[in-house]
Amino acid sequence: MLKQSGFGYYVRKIARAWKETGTLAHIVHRVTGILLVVYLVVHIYVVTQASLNGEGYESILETFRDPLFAAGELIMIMGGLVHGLNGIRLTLFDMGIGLKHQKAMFWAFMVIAVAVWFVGLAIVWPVIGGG
Amino acid sequence: MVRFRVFRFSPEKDRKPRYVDYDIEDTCGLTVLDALKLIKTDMDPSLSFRHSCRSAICGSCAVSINGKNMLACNTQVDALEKSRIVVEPLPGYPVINDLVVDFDPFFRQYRSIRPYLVSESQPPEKERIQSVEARKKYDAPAQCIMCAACTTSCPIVWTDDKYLGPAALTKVWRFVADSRDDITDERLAMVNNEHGVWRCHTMFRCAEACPKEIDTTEAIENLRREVLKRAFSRRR
Repeated sequence: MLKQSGFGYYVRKIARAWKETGTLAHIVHRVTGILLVVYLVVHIYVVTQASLNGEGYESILETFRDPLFAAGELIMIMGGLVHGLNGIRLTLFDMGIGLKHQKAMFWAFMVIAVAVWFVGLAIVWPVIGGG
Repeated sequence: MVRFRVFRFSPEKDRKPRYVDYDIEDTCGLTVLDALKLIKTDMDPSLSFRHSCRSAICGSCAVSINGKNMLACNTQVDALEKSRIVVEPLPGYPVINDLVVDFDPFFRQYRSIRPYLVSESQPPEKERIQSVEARKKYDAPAQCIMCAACTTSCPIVWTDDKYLGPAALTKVWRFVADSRDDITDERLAMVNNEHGVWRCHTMFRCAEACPKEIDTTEAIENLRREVLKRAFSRRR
């Protein structure tokens, strides 16, 4: 018999079905979830190392004012927003709310994510050097 | 003309699956099942697929059509509005031959949830009476024809062979919602674990695949809330 299961099969099949809203929400949730975990580990590690460094703390933090890091942070803000808001969407489903409107809810939450992201952009913009 | 790109795999001959194109000139009034039968009788008698009732009742002919699980017998070729239709076996389960998959994992999970009414009271002389209102509670899940379109569309089923899957979970909900059933606690305990209701990622693929339009995702969500309600009421 020909096997049709396993992690590789899941990735291939899921990638082909990205146009279906529920599946897209799952992909986005997974990817942003992994991104956030990686970011959190790196963030805690760097801040811990910097704070143990005593006098070097400020100079290490200075490197993060680099526009490249600021841009990375904007991506992370978007990741956090998308993951968090979709998490609220999933929690609402668990409460029995909005199951019949899952597609509209996904796009509505994504619109909110983008709107809040622009607020984040306004905060980070001076750091990047835009104003 | 419609080109049918059909998934072929023979365990004796092939190491990998292959796709074979079959062209059908006139598809007016044809269902995908009719097309498959036409291919088998007129073009390639070696093609294997399951079918029986031809009226969306037996659930034998579920296949993947252009990437979506459907019943071949109630899918009109022209309604798909495509000049190329890809027909593949249901995903997730091992392929025995061409479009025929092994249903053993499906029925193993199905049997494990005691898919029948369990009443602890003595059977009455005639039938167990149920009000119209009480019957309405499980109207939708009672329509299931066990075609496995939902379970095989679920990506969790592809990676976790212990996961009960939407069909079995919907059947659990069907009996939890049935006022005549007496083992609700046992049924909820069956699904209250990492391979039960909590494994669902709420992708809605199962509900979208169901040819009977049963909201299987809603059934799983209903079970989750029922599990929690019982857990909290016991604590009080």
